[in-house]
Amino acid sequence: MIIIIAYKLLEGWEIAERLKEISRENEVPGSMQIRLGGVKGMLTIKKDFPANKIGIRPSMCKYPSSHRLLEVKTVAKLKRDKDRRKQNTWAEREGQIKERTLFYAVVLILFDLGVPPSVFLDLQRRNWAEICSKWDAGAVKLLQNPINFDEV
Amino acid sequence: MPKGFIIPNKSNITKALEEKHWNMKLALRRATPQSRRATREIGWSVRDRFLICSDVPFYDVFREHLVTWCRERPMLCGRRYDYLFDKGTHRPSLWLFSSSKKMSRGDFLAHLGSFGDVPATKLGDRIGLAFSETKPLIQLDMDQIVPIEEVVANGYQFSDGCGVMGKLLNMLSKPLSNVLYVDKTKDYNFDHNHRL
Repeated sequence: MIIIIAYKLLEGWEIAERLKEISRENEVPGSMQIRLGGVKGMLTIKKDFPANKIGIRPSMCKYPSSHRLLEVKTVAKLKRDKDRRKQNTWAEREGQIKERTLFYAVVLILFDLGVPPSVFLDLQRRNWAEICSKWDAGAVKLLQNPINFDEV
Repeated sequence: MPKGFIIPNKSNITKALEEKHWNMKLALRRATPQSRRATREIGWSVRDRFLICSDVPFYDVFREHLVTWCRERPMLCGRRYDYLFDKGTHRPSLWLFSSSKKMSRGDFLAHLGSFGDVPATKLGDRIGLAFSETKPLIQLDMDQIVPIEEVVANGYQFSDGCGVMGKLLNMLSKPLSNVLYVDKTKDYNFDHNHRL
């Protein structure tokens, strides 16, 4: 199911939105968007997983932190009738989105669907040339390397 | 950036910032400080410790703002503000932090986590994670957090940002389902009841 959703260009809590629609009969949230120290992402139920544990993937860990408080940002929940009436169609949602940017997942999917890599490389080269022309050499070098925060 | 960037001690900072037209607002104005990890565990209840300078055109005045804030450390309503982080590319927002004797800017960031290996381009986003509005669910032990492998097929990764949880934790989140719900088709309204 994850693969199917990934091809619809959804990620993160947008997947939670989809799961909510799929599990309409379930009142307990099927997934939730969480924060846990430096961990960011979403959790879904897994039946054969230990009841009081959570599984964290490396892609969710953004930075090391000693905080262990599980925080919930949003949960997937059944829509109420009054909310469902107000829900716009997909076409209307498309009209509301003003700006779109390329990111890793979209590049992967477009590549898999047949877009040649030269297209993305060309875009990358063009962007990089723009950055190099407007920024100092020191700033460009800083962007390429991890930062030592004590020196900021 | 105007010169003489000082607001008298006794004035109301929210009102003063609006009058000055500096595009600056209180960063935590929308919700209580207890709803964010960055301020919850320190126990701060003072909202004017963080300021946000938003909608700054990047190539025009952002660098000027940044340099001014870093060097001059202006005084606003009795607090001296430092640069904390910036976020965004085209129209970045600049976060400012008022340090205290007990907690400097470095101490505050060390409290949030270790940002040593974070690339400079992602730094603002990562620090900003601690400022997102959340609802505390449960304090976990180390053995309750299990590392699992990514889902990889044909060399592609399909599990970016997706973890799993057991049934018990899922049941714990049931009371939250009446509170936390965001309809994505609308603009976020933080004053609305279903948003913390």
